[in-house]
Amino acid sequence: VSAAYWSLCATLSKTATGNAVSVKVPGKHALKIPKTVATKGTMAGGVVVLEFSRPNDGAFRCRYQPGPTDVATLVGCEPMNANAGDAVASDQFSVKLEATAGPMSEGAAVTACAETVTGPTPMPHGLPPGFRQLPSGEWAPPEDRGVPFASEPPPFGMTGELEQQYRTIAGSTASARELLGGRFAYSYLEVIEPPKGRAADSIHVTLWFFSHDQNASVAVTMKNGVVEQAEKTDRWVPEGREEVEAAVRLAREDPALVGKLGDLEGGAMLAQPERDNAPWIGNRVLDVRFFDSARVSRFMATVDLTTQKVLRAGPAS
Amino acid sequence: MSDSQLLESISREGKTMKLLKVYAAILAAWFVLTCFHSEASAQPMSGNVNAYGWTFTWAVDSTSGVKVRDVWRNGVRYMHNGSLPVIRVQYDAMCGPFIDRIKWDNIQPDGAGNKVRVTENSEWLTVWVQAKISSYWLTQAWWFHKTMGLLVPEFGSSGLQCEFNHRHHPLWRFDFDVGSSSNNRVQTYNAGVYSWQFTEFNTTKAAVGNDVIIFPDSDWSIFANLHPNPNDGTTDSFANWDYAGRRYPSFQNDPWAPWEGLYADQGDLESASHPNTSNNGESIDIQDIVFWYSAHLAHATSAGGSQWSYAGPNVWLQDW
Repeated sequence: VSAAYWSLCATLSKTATGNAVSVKVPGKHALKIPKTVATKGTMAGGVVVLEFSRPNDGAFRCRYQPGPTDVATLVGCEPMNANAGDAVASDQFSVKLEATAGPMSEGAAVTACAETVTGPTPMPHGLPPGFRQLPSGEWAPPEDRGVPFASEPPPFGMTGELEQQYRTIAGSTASARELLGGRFAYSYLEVIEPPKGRAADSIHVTLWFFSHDQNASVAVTMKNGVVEQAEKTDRWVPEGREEVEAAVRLAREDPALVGKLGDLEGGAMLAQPERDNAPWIGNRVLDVRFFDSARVSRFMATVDLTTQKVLRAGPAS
Repeated sequence: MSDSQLLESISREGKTMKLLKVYAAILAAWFVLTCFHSEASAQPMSGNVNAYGWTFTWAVDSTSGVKVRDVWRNGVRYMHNGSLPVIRVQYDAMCGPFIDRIKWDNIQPDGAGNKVRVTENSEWLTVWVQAKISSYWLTQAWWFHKTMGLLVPEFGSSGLQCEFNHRHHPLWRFDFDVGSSSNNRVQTYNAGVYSWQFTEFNTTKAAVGNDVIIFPDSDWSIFANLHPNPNDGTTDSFANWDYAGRRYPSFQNDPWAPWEGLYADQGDLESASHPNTSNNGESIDIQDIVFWYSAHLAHATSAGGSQWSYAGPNVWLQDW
């Protein structure tokens, strides 16, 4: 799995001071657990331990059983059941002999080599199978996306129908109505996800509105169809369908566009000032476009839904 | 009955029949429309998929496009949440910029009234939507390869809001939980050199290369490996990073909602008013990590409004 590594070895010999020899690895690395360690001379039944020191997580210990030849084989690791070749994050590893081990014979030694793993090997590059290279050099996904595949509705999942019902309930709740005022639009529904690792046990959502009376967003939180809370927020929610329709309607009535639009389709999205000196900053302003069947804009309007005025209208170019 | 009376009677009956046919047609149209509307609105906003080694839930439940949640492959967990929170658009002149967000009410249903389409061909299982935001037609898809651990998040765009060259910058958010949520690490790989990313970062492909690898500290044999595709473009002053790493708090999965909505605002990731999500030096080493990827899709006016352009990286989810 590793693409590039180099070997690091620690040798504990009869002449070494103490019962362990450490190798410090510069910087943070992961070390591959060796399958075997080399032994020389007699260990008198001793068990060889390879210990990886982890600054934040304590030591990680692997036990090796010496065999009849000059090799000790991995028996197991603690605190987890890591296997040979697994990587362990560490900045130091050492070779030890357990206290239960008998004396080493003169000239005996244990040598363990751990590989420093530098990273998983990246997967090959290239266009995904079935994706097309266009004459322009760009790629495109497969044209044929195939046939429908049935997925299962999850427990406590939302539907478009439920969303409509929740909107009606939210809009008729006194606390929400007070914040929304007389002129408002629905923006979207947000499902409040349970914490990681926990499954949903209710339908918990926030319905986001924009109140043009208040010139602010209003969030209505509901659980299983009951309003929990309604509050005004300073989030600038995306344009809702009703806002798009209202802005297009206002634009169509503007004298600069009347009689010119023919069968052009109208659409709109929130305007975003390129510099911070637009006079309408802070108002709910939409960039309206009337476009042809090739989706090229022919006419435009800048519509302020807060003041319900068309700020600018004319040819798109 | 005389011939003239007979003819009159036939004529009357003919008119009655015509009237009945008209009524029947109106009734049928009303019935079809009612059923269609009812089916469309009752459509689930989420669904579970368990096939071809993949297990995940798709959902359109905010303004982050169609999400995939709890993505597992062959029994290994890889991602808590993948989404497309925003497409930032910048024109060369006289127009925008814009913040496009795909949500339930701008997703267009297919002929059968389905907003979210789950389909399969011989190689891929695909969850996808087509959205309409003003003059833009957009597609967003998650392609799951049937036999390999390859996931391709795709974004496609067409339409000219203004007749000027412009760039779409789709921003994908991947809340990777490779193996588990709390101990992931990030490396970048460039021409044989691995580099650790220990703290939160914004960086470019040019600086660190075309491979980002996310893997658990305890097991390097499983990992997610993201690499850009050739269409994904290069950064500019408006969108000046390709990769961003952040430490996970729960609100990293919130919808994209910039307060200011101004030119320089890169929303949740950059603004000084969002210190909890911005690039403020928190450790992402052996942590729960949220990884962002931005593509930079150029659309030249000369190509016209109906030309589609696509972007999106390959995301390999590997278990050795």
